[in-house]
Amino acid sequence: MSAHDHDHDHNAPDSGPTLRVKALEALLVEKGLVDPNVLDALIDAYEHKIGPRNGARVVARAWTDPAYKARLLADATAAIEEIGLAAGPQGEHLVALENTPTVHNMVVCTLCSCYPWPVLGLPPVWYKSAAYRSRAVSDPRGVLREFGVELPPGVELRVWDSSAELRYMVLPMRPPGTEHLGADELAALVTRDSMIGTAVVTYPAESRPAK
Amino acid sequence: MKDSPKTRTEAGKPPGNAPDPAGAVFAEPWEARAFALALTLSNGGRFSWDEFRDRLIAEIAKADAAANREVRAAPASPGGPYYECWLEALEKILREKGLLNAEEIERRAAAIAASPPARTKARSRGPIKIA
Repeated sequence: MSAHDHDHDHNAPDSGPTLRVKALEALLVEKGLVDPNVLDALIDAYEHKIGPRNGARVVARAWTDPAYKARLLADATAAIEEIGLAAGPQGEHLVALENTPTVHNMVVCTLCSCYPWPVLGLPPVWYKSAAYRSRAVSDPRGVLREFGVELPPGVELRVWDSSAELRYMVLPMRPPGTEHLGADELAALVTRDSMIGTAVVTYPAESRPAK
Repeated sequence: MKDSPKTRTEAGKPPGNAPDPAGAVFAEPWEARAFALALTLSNGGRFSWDEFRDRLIAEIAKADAAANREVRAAPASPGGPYYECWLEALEKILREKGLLNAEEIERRAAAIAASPPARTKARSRGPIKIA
């Protein structure tokens, strides 16, 4: 607590987090503990390469390949590696949760921000907010409603708490009317939120071929 | 866990449904640097991810408690207080592992604050020759 207080005691114009991080980085680079090029590469990867398009590929493959889907549900870590995604940090113990007509799954990290980085990238701001972390537990159907998802009363809602040991991703239901679509077209329909469980995948009328 | 749902998040948005601006993984450049510092140090074995996560959880719990008491200052980032917690956790683990001490962090921060950004080097002096 004392260290925390200290950091916020002095309110000089330049005492913000930008300055703190610059100081840490400069010192760590000087001591040879970090390489600034590695920092740049990591930031670039998480800003541009590792994101929900990875998870969308996994979902589309599972929708089009029943054997792959079975492997995904049995061992998601192995299944994402199979299609060339590195499990890496925050993906070592990945679990895929299948949505069905009777079960809807939704993922939260009640304590911090645990999230399946290899398939979804870094979490959105709302996932890390105190409001979501508490209300996903106290009023999950209300949270879903705010996301525009009205769950029929007969559908069981399961809320899963991500942890250091287990990271969850949701395998959403394939929307009706998509039987003719290939894996790439299907992947384009899959949203980040649908893989967190705060949205369902839809096939909008305007993207359907004219009859 | 509170029974009465909060009606706004730290970012001042309705809970849950506010989409992030497209592609904005980090709200501020310092958030990206702080993220990458923790990850690269952990990847290099300076501390385990769980050790870092434990400290992050503690900082988030502190921020949640402060927000509930409404004593917390406005977060420094439009992304909310999350990366401030991250930075706090990072400084803590660096000190606890003996990788950096509080004094040298303060000294360096003060030195950077005191030195204006070196702009002159990048400024063009015009063509070296016009023929």
